[in-house]
This record gives sequence, structure tokens and C-alpha cells, in this order.
Amino acid sequence: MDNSREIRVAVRDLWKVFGPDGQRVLQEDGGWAQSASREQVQEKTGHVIAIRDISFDVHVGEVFVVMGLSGSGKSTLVRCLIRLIEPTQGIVEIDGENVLEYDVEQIIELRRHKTGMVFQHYGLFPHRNVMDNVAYGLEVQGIEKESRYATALDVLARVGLKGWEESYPDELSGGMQQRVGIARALALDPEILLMDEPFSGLDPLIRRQMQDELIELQKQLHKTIVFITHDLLEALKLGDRIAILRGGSMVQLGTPEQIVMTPADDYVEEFVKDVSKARVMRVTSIMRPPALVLEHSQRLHSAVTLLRENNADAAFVAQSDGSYAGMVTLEGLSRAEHEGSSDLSAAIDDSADSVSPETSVQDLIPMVAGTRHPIAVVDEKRLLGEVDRPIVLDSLAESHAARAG
Amino acid sequence: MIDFPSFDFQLDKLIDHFVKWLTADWRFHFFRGVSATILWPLVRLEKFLQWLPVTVIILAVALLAWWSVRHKRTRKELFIVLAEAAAIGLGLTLIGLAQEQSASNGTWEWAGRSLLAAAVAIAGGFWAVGGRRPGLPELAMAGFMFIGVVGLWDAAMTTLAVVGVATTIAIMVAIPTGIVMAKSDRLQAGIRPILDLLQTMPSFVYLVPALMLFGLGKVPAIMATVMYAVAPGIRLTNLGIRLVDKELIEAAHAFGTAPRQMLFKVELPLALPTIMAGINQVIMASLAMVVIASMVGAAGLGIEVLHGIARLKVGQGFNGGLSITLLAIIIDRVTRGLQPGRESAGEPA
Repeated sequence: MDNSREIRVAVRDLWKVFGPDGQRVLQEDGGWAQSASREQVQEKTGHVIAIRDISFDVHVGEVFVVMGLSGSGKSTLVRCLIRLIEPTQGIVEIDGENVLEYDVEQIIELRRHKTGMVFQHYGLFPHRNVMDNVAYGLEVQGIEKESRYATALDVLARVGLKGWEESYPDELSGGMQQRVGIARALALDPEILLMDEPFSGLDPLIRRQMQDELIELQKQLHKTIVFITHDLLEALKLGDRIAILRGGSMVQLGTPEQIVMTPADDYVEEFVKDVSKARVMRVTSIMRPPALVLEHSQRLHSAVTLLRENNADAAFVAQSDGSYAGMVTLEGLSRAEHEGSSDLSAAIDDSADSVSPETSVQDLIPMVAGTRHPIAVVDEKRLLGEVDRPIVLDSLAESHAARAG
Repeated sequence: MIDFPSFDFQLDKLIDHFVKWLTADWRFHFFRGVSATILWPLVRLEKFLQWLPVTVIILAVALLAWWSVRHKRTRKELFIVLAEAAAIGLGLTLIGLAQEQSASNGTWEWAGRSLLAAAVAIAGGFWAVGGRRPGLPELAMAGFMFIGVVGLWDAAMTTLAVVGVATTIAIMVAIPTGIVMAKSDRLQAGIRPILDLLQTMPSFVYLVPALMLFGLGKVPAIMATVMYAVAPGIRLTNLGIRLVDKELIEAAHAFGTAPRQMLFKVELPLALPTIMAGINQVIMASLAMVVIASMVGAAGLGIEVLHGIARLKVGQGFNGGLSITLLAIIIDRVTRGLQPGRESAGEPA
């Protein structure tokens, strides 16, 4: 769906084999190891295949989540992107350049300017205070103190740690330490953020709060984010697209909705089993075209007739340029008529609920529960469709049936 | 019973020849040159320490001790310590002047002794009234007072100079060696047995070749001391760098840290507590060699102990031995406290 967008990171046929001579293991004897199982390869050669033939693109401004359990190779994969771990075979392109062909100097430049990384255990330097931790990346670039401290202060304010500059990491709570970790990465103003299970070590409440803050931050910054997690709910919440890894291979790549609604295999199915479908299903995939749309300039009387003819008790109203103006109900119309007005606009209820097509069905449930009228689906003032209580119930029943079957 | 058969394997002769070869021709002059190079700062340091007024040294020791106990580094503490040091310093000066000017100055001598008593009274008073227990500064001043009172002040300064120079050389060798060792497993495998050898070989064994290479006096003593003391410095530098959290190294890499920056911005600062412990060990090992080193003619406290043994003067030996112990305890506590870092570090047990 995003094929037209610019590609920031492209990974092609990536392999990582741990052991003294991974390259040889992949090539020898006609490359039998490439199709053998992990266990077979380990038994025969003592080498471990950590990443098996993975390819994907990460688009500019996208949150790309890599999800898998421990041992699935997800942490190895993110490290391969900036060669903290050397891939055995394949291509990693960042902005069109193959990173695997870089020499040491180029790699250092890449890490200094294009990427910023956040670690599961924070990876903060205990001998440096918060300020010097955040300014570290700028310091190794050789940027002078005044200017790097100014940047650090800026970023610290952004992650809500203003006033903590002089503290040392061990004086901060886990959540605050990870804020410092995020600030340290942001201080470089990198195009790409690599986040290796950044919230896994935090307790659930703080984790949720940090996820929300990351979403807020991303709205302002529009970074390209590669986010590693073992938590499916986190992946669904944050990811524009999700890659699911198992035993070093990628088993599915898709949007959260695709992953939950159409799991590629039993493994993914098992994963998403307990996920409420309503949470990932978007309004856009269940809405229907609006049944009845009135012109804003229509006479009150003809509107009432139209509604009666269609056996409807409510209808949407559009401006002459097509933009959404609100909803009228039969009750409202007759009341306005009774009060002697002849203009439709007098009856328009512009306080009626409308939703965006990206709203989750989960969030829709309380809205449809509160009204018996349809709800308008509106995107940038354009009326796209409508949803009502029966549609929502149907969609929930379907997904439930699909799961049971 | 069959005795162990004899073999014509003469490692001892071989080593003899090697040392003889080392001391012949131009090599002799080379080692004498090294000797002179080491002697130059040593003599000056010794002269300087002996020239410094006793008051200054007592004051410096007291301040260092105050500074090294982090949780007691307060203004009030400083005031008490300064008062004590001032009383001692002034008291010693008065007594000294009285003795120089002949016996007629009984009043000065009496005043001086009262001041010394006053120093004790200050410490005791704060203990009794304020509940402030005397600490490292008091121990340090008392230790140096003891050394002076038993007449070993100049000997102690000589020992300090020898230990100072030996420690400096050992640290200058140990830290770079420890760093390269930490960077290469091969080097580590190669250097380790040498360190084992250096530390387990009875230290007397170093004296003979040192004597032959550098002649009699303080330089062979220093060389033997360095040989013995350098090992813990190398070991702990190596260990400290190797123990730096791998995740921090990875984080540093992820932010584009160049190799030099890795060493100076990440590895050395994080290894510093361990390296400081190594330096502390180097100093302790140097002090432990003081007596042995005096056998090749290094003057100082060691000579006292040696004479005590050789001439059956138990008292003299005891004075010398106790002085060395006091120096060791004071230097150990102070250097432990001087380790950089925040809070919790270096509190004397």
C-alpha cells in the first residue's frame, strides 16, 4: 500500500550466521545449510543461523515494528542494520547506499549522523550525568560544549526531563532512564531511530505511558523508526507495519490489521489469538456508503418527504462543495417545521458524532451504543461513509466466528 | 633407593652468562645511564621532602586525609583538622626552636609541649562533647608524629621518595601494558604467566641482577621494587577494562565512537575504580619491598629493620617496622579515598 513512498532502509536477502566461519557454512556443499533447519546446521557445523534470508523495506516516516520471541533474531537484525553485528551475507541499503560496503570511517559517520539507537537496558553511561549522556553523540562528533549542551537541553525538554540535567542515571527511575536513552538518540537528530525493546524493562503502566509519548513524539518528528519488541500489543499499537520473526525467518509482514485479521500461518495465528479484533479493525474496513445525503440548500419540507420515502429516520447533510455539514433526524426536522422555519440548516445537528476512517472499531463501540442513528465517517471534511450499531455488531460477530472456526 | 639421576642441564649457568653479557661493554654504560636517569629525580624528591618543614608535611597529610574521606568532607571537619594540625605544627616549631637555642629556653619547650597536648585535647574534646570520633586525619597526624618522635623522620622521607619514584615508574608501565593486554586475548595469554612469575618469585631473586646491572644503592632497590609491584597494576588495569559492561561498549559504538574515544571516554573512565585499586596495590607492594630493598643499600626505614635483625636490636627493628606499617596504613586509606567517582566510593573500613 505504501509502494509509492520513498524507501529509507532496504534489506535484501540478509543472513547472519554466528560462528567462526559463517560465510563458509552458507556456501559449502552447494549451500545445503541455506535450506537446512537451525538445529541441523548447529549439529553439523557448530554454527547458529540467527537471521535467515530476510528482505524488507522501511519507508520514510514509517514506524516499522519487528516482532518475535527471544531467539527469533530480532535484536540481531536491528544490530545488523548499522553493523553492530556484521551480517554474513546480503544487502542493507540506507538511503540507497549499501552499508555493508562501508569502511570503518563511513560506518562511524553513518552512526554519528543518520541513526540513533535506544537500548532495552538503556545503555546509559553511569559515569556521566544526564546532560553528558544526552550530549554524548554530539561530543564524539567533536561539537563544542556550548552548542551540544544547548541541543541536549532542547531534547531533554522534549522528553519531559527538564531540570534533571545534573542527575546521574542511577538516581533515575527506569522510565526516566529510558527517556534519557531516547533523548540521547534524538539529540543527533537522526533520520532513523533504532529501538531495541526500549520499553520491555518498564512496568506496564509506565510502558503504556511511554508508548503514548512515543506516538506523540513521532507525530512531531516524523522519524523513520525500526522498533523491536516481543509484545504483540505494543507492536499493534505502534506499528505502521509489522514484521513477525520466528527462528530467524520472517513469517509475515503486514499492517496490524492484516496481521490480526489474516495471520499467515499457525504461528502468527497463535500469537494473535487473544488479541481483540476490534482493537485493530479500522472503521474504514467496515463502513458502508452513506444511504442518504441531503443538499444543504434543500427545502425543509422536501427533506422530510425524502426521509419518509426512504423509510429513514436520519440523514447526513453535505455542503454544495461536498463537504460534510452534519446530520438531520426526522424528529429534528419535524420540530423545525413546527417552529415555522423552511430552511434545512435550522434542523442540522452539528454536534452529532463523526469518526475518522482510522478509528478502531473498539473505540467505535461506545459511540454506536449511545445512538440509534448512523455515524458519519469523515476524512478531512469529506463524507466517506457511515457506520451504525448493526454493522459494528456484525463485524464483531464475524471476527468471533472466524476465530471459533 | 635411587637418587634423582644427574643431568647436564645448566640453566643457572646460562642465566649467569646472560647477566654477565648484559653487564659487559657498552651495555654496562647503558644500564649506568638508566641508573643515573632514575637517580636524578629520586635524589631531588628525597632532598625536597627532607627540606620541607615538618609543619608543612603534617599539614599536607592532614588535609589529604580530610579530603579523602568523602562523607566527612565538610567545613566543620576541615576546621577541626586545621586546628589540630596548627597546634601540632606550632608546638613542634616551638620545641624545635627551643632545642636549637640551648637549654635556657625552657618556657618555649614547655609551651610547645602544651600545644601538642592541646591538639590531643581538641580531638578528645570534640569526641567527648560532640560525639565526633577521631578519624583518618587524626590517625595520619598521629602516625607521622610517632615516626618523628622515634627519630625516624628523615628515614621515612627517604622511604617515601623511593616508594614514590618506584610507584610512578610502575604505574607508567602498568597502565599502558594493562590497556594493550585488555585489547588482545593473545597478549593477555602471553603476559599472564610473566605476571605470575613476577609475583610469585621470591623478591630477593630480583636483587642480584638489579645489583649487577645498576650498582649498589637506591636504583637497584627501585628496579626490584618495580618488578614486584608492577604486576597488580597491570592485572587490575586489564581487568578493569575487560569488565566494562559490553552493553555500554555497544551503545558507544552505536553513537559512532572512534577507537581512541572508546578508550578515553568510555573504557578508562568506567575502569577507573578498578585501576585505582590497582594503583593502591602497586603502592602497597612497593612499601612491602622497602625492607628487602634496603639490603642493596637503599637507605630509609628498611635499614632500621635490617639493623634490628642483624644486630639483635629488637627495639630498633620494632620502631622501623611499626613506622613502615603506619606509613602503609595511612597511604592505603588516603589513596583509597582519593578515588574519583560519586558518593559511596572509598570509605575506610
